[in-house]
Amino acid sequence: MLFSSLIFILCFLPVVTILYYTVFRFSRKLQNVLLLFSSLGFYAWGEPWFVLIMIVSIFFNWFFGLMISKFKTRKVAERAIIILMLLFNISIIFVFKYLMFTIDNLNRFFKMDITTLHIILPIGISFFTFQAISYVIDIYRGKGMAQKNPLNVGLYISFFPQLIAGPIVRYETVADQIMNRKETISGFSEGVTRFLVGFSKKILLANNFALLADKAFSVQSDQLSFSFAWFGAICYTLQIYFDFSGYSDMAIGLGRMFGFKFPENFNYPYISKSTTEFWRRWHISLGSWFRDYVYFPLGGSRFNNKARLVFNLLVVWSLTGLWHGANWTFILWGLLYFVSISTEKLTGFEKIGETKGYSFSISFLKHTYTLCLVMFGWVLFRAENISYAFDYMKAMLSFGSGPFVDTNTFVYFNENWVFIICGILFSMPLGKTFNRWLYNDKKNKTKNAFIYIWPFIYSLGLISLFLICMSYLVKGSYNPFIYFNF
Amino acid sequence: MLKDKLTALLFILVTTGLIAGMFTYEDNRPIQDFLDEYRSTVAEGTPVIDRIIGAVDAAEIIMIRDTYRRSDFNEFFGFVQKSLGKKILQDPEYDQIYKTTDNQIIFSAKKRSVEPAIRSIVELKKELDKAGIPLLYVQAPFKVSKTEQTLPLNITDYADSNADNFLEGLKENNIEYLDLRPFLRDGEKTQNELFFDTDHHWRIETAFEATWLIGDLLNKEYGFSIDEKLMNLESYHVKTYKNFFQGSMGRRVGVIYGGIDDFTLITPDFPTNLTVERHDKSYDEVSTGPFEDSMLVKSNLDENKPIDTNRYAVYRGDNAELVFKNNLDAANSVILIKDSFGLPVYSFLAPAIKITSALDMRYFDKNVVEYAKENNPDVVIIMYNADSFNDEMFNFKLDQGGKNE
Repeated sequence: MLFSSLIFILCFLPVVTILYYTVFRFSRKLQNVLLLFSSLGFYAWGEPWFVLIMIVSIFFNWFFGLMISKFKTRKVAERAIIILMLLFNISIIFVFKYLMFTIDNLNRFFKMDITTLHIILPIGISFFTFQAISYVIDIYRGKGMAQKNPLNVGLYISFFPQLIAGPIVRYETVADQIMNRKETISGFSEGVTRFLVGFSKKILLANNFALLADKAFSVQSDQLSFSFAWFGAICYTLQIYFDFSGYSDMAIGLGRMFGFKFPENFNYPYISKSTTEFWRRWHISLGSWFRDYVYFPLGGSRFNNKARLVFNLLVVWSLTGLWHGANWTFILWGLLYFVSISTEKLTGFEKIGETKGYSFSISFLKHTYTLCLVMFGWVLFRAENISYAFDYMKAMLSFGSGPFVDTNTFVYFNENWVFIICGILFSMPLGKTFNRWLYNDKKNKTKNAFIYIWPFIYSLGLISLFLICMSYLVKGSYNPFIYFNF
Repeated sequence: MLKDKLTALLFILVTTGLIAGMFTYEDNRPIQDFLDEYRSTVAEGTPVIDRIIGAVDAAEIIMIRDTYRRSDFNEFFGFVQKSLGKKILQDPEYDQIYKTTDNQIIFSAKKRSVEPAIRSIVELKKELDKAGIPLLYVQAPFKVSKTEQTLPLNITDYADSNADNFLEGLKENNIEYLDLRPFLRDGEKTQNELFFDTDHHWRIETAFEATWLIGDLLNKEYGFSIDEKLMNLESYHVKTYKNFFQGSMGRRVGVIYGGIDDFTLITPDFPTNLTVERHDKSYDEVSTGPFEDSMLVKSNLDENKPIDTNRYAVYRGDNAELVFKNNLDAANSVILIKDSFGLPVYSFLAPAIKITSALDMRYFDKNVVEYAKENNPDVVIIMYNADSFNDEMFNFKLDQGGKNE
C-alpha cells in the first residue's frame, strides 16, 4: 500500500488511528499488536506472498537476538551467532534481489549457461533487512535489550510508516520507544503536519517532476537535445528529492502520530558544497547505517595508511550503490561517489574556502561542482542501462547527435515553470529562514501581529494543498513508486 | 504549536467528512459496490491469494469511484490546472490530453501502420466484387487537423497522416473512397463549429453536412435516387440547446477547465415512418414510428439529467447491429460499417433511403461478406474517422465461413 493513495488516507490510516486511540489505548502491548498486524496487512496489500518472507525474517532475527542475549559473556558464540545472522539476512536479500543479476552476469561474462530465474523483488526488502541486522547488532553492542516477545521485534522491523521507503530506523533509536513511548496531542499534531508536508511534496512536486523526467529519459538518445537533457536531469534531481524526502516526511509524521520519534533522513542536500556534505544530508539513515555497521568496523578513516582508507571507502560505496538496485548503473553510481568522496577526503576539499578571506565565488564554485556531480550521478541512477546513461550525459555535454534546443524543453518548461520554481525554492531551507525571521525579532509590531495570524494561514494553506492532492488522487493522476529496486 | 494543532484538527475534520460522505452521499454504497466489484472480477474457485489480490483491486477501484463529491474534486482539479495555465493534462486512459489553441479538449492520435487495414479492406473488396456489391470507403476527419498546429508545439497528431497513407493505399488498389476532410474543412466553418469543444466527435451540423456529401456521391456514382430536398437543412427542424453538453473529453477535466458545449438537434421536418430492428447477441428488438420516436433516444436530451449525459447518443447511440427500414416511399439500401462518428450519419440517411444497416466491427461478430450477400445492399460503405486504423475496426470476420445465422 502506498501512503499516497486514497485507500491509505481514507481507510487504513483512520481505522488504525481510531482503534489505536480508543479500543487499544489501555494497553501498550495491545497497541503494539495492533500496529504489528496493521503493518503486516499494509505490506501484504497487493503482494500477499511477500509478507511470509518478512515473517520468517522477523522470527529468525528475534531468535538471533535472544541467542546473543543468552551468550552475552561468550564472545566466540556471540560472534558465531552474528555471522549466522549476517549469512541469513544477506542470503535473503541476495536471493530476492541479486541472484538474477548474478546469474545474468555469470552467463554474460563467463559464457556460462545457468538457467535465468524470474524472481520478483519484495518491496522494501533492503529497508527491513537492514533494520533486522541493526536489531541483532545493536543487542550485540549493548545498545538495546533483546525483545523476549517476537511481536515487538515484528513491530520494529515491519512498522508500516518506515517499512517500504525508510528511514532505516536503528534498533538503538527505538528500542525504548517500543514499550515506553509517549503519545501527546502536540506530538500527534506535529505528526499530522509533517505527514501533510510529505504528502504534498510527493503528489504535487515529485509526481509532476516524474512525468517530465520520464519524458526526457524516454527520448531516444540520438534525438535528445542538449536543453531537454538538462531539463530532464534537473527534473529527475527534483523528483527524487521530493519523492524520497516526501516519503520520509510522511514516515516521520506517521511515526509521530503513534508516539514514535524517528531520525531525520534529509537535510536540504542540494545546498551542499561537497559530495561528502551531500551524503551527510541525503538519506542520512542509510549513510549512517553504512558508516556505523560497515565503515567503522572496517577501521573507518582512523588509519594513517591512505590506501586502507581508500579501500574502506571503496567497500562502503560499492555496497551503497548495490543497495539501491541490482544493476550496473547503481554500482557505477556508487563508484562515482567513491571517487569523488575519496578525492575530497584526500585533498581536504571541504576545508577549501572555509577559512576567512575566501570569496563568495569559491563557495559558489564548490556548490556548482557538487550539484553538477550529483545531477550526473542521478542520470546514471535513472537510466535503464549504462550505455543510455552515457549517451544522455553526452547530450548534456552537447556532444550528442540531437539538436541543441527543442520544442519539448520550451513546452514542458512553459507548462511546469511554477512547479520547477517551487521545487528549486523548497529544496532550500527557506522555511527555516522564514521561521527564524518571524520569531526572532519580537519587538517588531507588524511581525508580532503576523505571528498571530500565521498559524491560521499555515494550516489553511496546508489543508488546501491536501485537498489539491486529493483531487490528483481522485483523478488517478500519475503516481509512481520509485523504490521497487531498493 | 498552534499551527500544528489547527492543521491536525482541519485534517481530521476533512477526512472524517470525506469518509462520512462516502457512506451517505446520494446513492453511494461503498460496501455493496465493493462486493459487486469483487464478485464481478473474482471467479468462484479462485485460489486464496488471487482472491486477496482481487479484493485489494476492488477496494482501490471503489475508493476512487465512490469518493465523496468526486465530480467536485474533478472540477477542483480542473480549476487548479487552469490556474496553472496548463495545456497538457495527465489522463489515466489517454496518457495525456490537451487544450488546443481553439480551446478544445482532445487527445492526440498515434502514428499507426495502415498496411494491415489496407490488406483487410482489399480482401473485403475482392469478396464483395465476387458478389457484385460495390464498396465505398468514406474518410471522416479526426478532431485535430494537420493543417494547423493547435496542439502544444511538441505534440504531433498522426490522424491525418495515417488517413493520407491509408487513402493512398486504397488508390493503389482501386478502391473507391470519399475523403470528407477537404470538403468539411473548406474554411466556411471554424474548428469550434466543426467539432464539439468537450467531445471528440463532430458536431451534429457537421455530421449532417457529411451525410449529404455522401448522399450526393451515392446519387451521382452509385445510382441512388435520394430526393435532393432531403439533403437541404431547410427540410429539417433545428433546435440548439445552450450550454447543454459536456462530452467525454470535458468529463475528464471538468467544466471550469473544459467548458460546456451547445448541442444542436436536427430532426426531419417532413413525414417519416421507420421500423428499427436492433439485433443484439442476446435479444432482438423492433420499434416502428416517426423519426422522433424510432430513431431518437430522447432520454439523452432530458434537461434534468446531468450535464455529462451523452447527448450525442440521442441519435440511436448503440453498438448493436441496427437495421432501419423506411416504411414510406423510398429506394436503395446501404450497409454502413461505422465508428461512433456514424451515429448521426445513419440517422439522417435512414429516412432518405429504403434500408440502412449499421454495423460496428468492434461488436459485430459475423462475416460481413455473408451478411452483405444476405441483404444485398446497393453499396457497402465503410466510414471511419481518421483515428480508427486498428485491427479491431478492420476485422471484417471474413475467416468465419458459411452463412450467418
